[in-house]
Amino acid sequence: MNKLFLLFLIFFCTNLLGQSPSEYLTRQGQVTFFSYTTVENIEATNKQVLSLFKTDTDSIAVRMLMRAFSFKKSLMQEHFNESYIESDKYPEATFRGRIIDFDPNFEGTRIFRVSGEFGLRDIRKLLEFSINCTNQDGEYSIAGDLEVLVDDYNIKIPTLLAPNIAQVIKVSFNFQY
Amino acid sequence: MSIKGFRLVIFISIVMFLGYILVSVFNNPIPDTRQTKTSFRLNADELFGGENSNSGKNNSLYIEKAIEVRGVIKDLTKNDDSYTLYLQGEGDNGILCEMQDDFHFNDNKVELGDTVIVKGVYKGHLLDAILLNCILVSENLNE
Repeated sequence: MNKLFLLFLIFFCTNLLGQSPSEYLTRQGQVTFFSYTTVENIEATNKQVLSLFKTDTDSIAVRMLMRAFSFKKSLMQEHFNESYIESDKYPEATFRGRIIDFDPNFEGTRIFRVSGEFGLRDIRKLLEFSINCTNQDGEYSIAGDLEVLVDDYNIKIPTLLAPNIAQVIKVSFNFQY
Repeated sequence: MSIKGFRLVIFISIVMFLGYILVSVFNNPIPDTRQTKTSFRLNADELFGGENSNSGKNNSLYIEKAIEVRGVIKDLTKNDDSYTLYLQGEGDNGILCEMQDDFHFNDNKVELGDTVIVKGVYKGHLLDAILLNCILVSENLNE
């Protein structure tokens, strides 16, 4: 009986070890946004972005603290958090989406389309964009960029500063799972 | 010099001075954490519960404040040119301490398992607590 149980345990453990994981997490994803205007270029990076990628459901989820975006100039950072994003009221931005026609068995780098909801300041908008997904020996990374419209998220910019801030913000991301 | 000319010189000087102040304020870099006053001193686990702590999502008291945290280094990572120390917190949660740009591992003898005190600006919680612009206050406290 004991031998039978031992055999069962070995069989169970071997099967378990043979399975590749289907959930991948990174705590240090990177998201950068750029605002290009003729008056001023503004860039900020957040290197502590949380992301979960599930290969069994083709889903990807992202959470980031708006206060964790680093700017070069402190006044820009202050305006971003206090006036535009209102980080006290809306501390996080989120994304939940699915990779379209994802093949979990692919190797190397492939381009996929992603569709999902981006949430900022309690407003959720549907976005669709391309990503570069790499699978190197079971280690996944996802990178790409997308565009976000300032008007979509009810971000109020004073008339005096309007020429300094682009209406279309370019967002780049890189997640090494 | 006539009074009119003198007034013109004074006026231009004031405009230039105000312009200089304005440009300086706009271009002020992010302050060096060494020059920032420490608002709180905590152990790593105090950011994650415990009876006397301001646990998890109720840590609004610390937001944008420079805090000193004592904890054990669980991981060291380099992302582009910036380094992050990951301090052991509670369970699977820890403290991500993104170091200031002038931090280099080579200049600081820190290793996994070392107990250190890190000072940084608290930004909030996701799975982990996040501190930016961190500096090492004390290294190798377990020696």
